[in-house]
Amino acid sequence: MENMKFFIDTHDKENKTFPAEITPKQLEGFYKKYEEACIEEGVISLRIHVGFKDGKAFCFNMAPSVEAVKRVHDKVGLPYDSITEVSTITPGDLALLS
Amino acid sequence: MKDKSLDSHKNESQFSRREFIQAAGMAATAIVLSPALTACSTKADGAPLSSYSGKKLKLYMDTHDKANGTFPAEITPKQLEGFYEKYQAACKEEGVISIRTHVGFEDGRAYCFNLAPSADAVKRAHEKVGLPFDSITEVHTITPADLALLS
Repeated sequence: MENMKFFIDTHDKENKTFPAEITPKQLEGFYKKYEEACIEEGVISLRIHVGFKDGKAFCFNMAPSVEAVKRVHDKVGLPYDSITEVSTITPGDLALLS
Repeated sequence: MKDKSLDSHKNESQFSRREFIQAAGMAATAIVLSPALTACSTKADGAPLSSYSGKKLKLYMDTHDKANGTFPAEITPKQLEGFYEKYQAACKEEGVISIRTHVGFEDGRAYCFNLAPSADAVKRAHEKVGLPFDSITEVHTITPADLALLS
């Protein structure tokens, strides 16, 4: 398996990167498509957090590269504001970085 | 890296890779959630898991970006370790459970994922350690099992 890294990508209805009127039920169907695209690109979807009220979303993924995360979004036709490679800084996780 | 013997097993290995990715996803999710579960289970006073300090807890994500002056551009992982201890202490005072903080050192961005009684409590935890932020958003988790909890 490739060396996997963590990524967070962001979506905001203000920037038209989150569908403003989507309901939790509709998202359920969308998530299945998204997960299928993830599997095709070797991306592991850890969690997606959605703020329905504010129209924002944050996807937390493990992926071999930022391009793989991009391709997953392209495949399901979902635009994004940013994709950031992240580390986790709880002390136990920081120790893994050094 | 083209190899005939590898190609002949292509379908088989792709299938197992797919299964591996799914299994790894489940395992990683368990790891990601474990701090929250630990934080909740250590209460041990019989209160429900969604309650802490007697208040119902919700999930919040806050964002920081050096482009907006809300992330200290030059901070090192070592310095962050000391900072995180202070942040965690402030969270405790405000009844906030820090589940995970994710930092992109290269891009100068950070995302804090917290359980808290209100957005104000998250704000106060940041103010106590002098850390500005771009946004605090109440979020739900939309993996199918989590969505089912919403309805």
